Amino acid sequence: MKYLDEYRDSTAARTLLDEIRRVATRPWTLMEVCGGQTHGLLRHGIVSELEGTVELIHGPGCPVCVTPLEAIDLAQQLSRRGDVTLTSFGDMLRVPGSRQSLLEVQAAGGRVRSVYSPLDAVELARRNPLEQIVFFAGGFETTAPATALAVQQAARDGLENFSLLVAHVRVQPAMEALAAASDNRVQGFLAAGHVCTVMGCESYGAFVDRFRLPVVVTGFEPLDLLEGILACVRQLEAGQARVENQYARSVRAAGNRTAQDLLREVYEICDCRWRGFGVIPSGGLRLRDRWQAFDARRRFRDVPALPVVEADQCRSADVLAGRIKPPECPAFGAGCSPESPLGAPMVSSEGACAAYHRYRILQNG
Amino acid sequence: MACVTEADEGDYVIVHAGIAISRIDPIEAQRVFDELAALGDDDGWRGPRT
Repeated sequence: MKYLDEYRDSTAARTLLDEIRRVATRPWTLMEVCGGQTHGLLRHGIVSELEGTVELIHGPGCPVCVTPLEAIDLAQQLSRRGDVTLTSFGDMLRVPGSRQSLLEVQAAGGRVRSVYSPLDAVELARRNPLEQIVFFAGGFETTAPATALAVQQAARDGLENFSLLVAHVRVQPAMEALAAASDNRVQGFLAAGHVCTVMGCESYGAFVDRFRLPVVVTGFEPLDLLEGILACVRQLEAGQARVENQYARSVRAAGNRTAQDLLREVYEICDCRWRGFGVIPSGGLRLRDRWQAFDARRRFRDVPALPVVEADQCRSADVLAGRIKPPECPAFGAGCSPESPLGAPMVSSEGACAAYHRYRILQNG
Repeated sequence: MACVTEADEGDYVIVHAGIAISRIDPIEAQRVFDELAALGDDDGWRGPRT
């Protein structure tokens, strides 16, 4: 397909790999922020090709991975009520909560449905006026414009049976938390191309000034990833720290203003608990006062919260913070696999554990 | 297409969670291949392959 195949050209990838090895005079440690990038790096063998030259620490950009357990547990409680149908993206349904995943709740008779878009959940509410349709809205600034549109659509249509369980998170505050940590090893960031498509890359100027670490906005195909790494290594070798935009075919400096206006109209920034990180200041979004009627937490405030239980062999918190690589977890491939995951990173198409499990096996086999 | 009103028929857009979030800029899309050509041992890429 146009704009995909040509970015997977293996001759061009070799050229870029050689150039990275030529430019690097010492090993460097970079973080790719987005889980989509993690999967690309492993799928195309880039992590192993660059061993000894560039170490990639896999960032927290897997939205279902950082969604706090209490939100997943609450979604399950809602789906057991009888009058609620809980909808979300497929990945979110497979994440283990304290006791089960939403899919397991569905198998046991709970009302859970996977949708492709939050707008599909609005349509479901329109067609089923006697049911309460809740959309479990996880995801970064890439996904939040779609859920904001859904709320506006429901309001326009006067739908009183649609609401959002909001678990949206913001990427840059998490990068700040990582860069500010005393044990930070990351020397440069590959910023998340699709989040920057919405939010732009101007806001990283202040980040770079504060932390003196290069930030290269990077896409997802092999040539994008290699170009992003090369740009980062070139900056590091030259002792520079700037914002660069490798993914300019999608990312404009100011981002997508229409989507940003939509976000500002519906959401406000709040402190937010991230799974594996604790509370990140300004790390999340919540519905503004005027949209509170669509807040599932408010509409169903009588639903009791159950105690949160983390799986004790699962080291996903360490994986998410980049402290360990997935195969270093004792449960990796031994009790924890994409088919029966203990933690969210083994579930998701953006999770680091799932990427290692999938592509390590391919490479070894 | 609520967030990418500038897109025209024939344009490529990036869709996330059911909505378009950007229109692909064909000039910027070419840039990586120009840079590869400048690195030497690549012929560069000129326009879409069919």
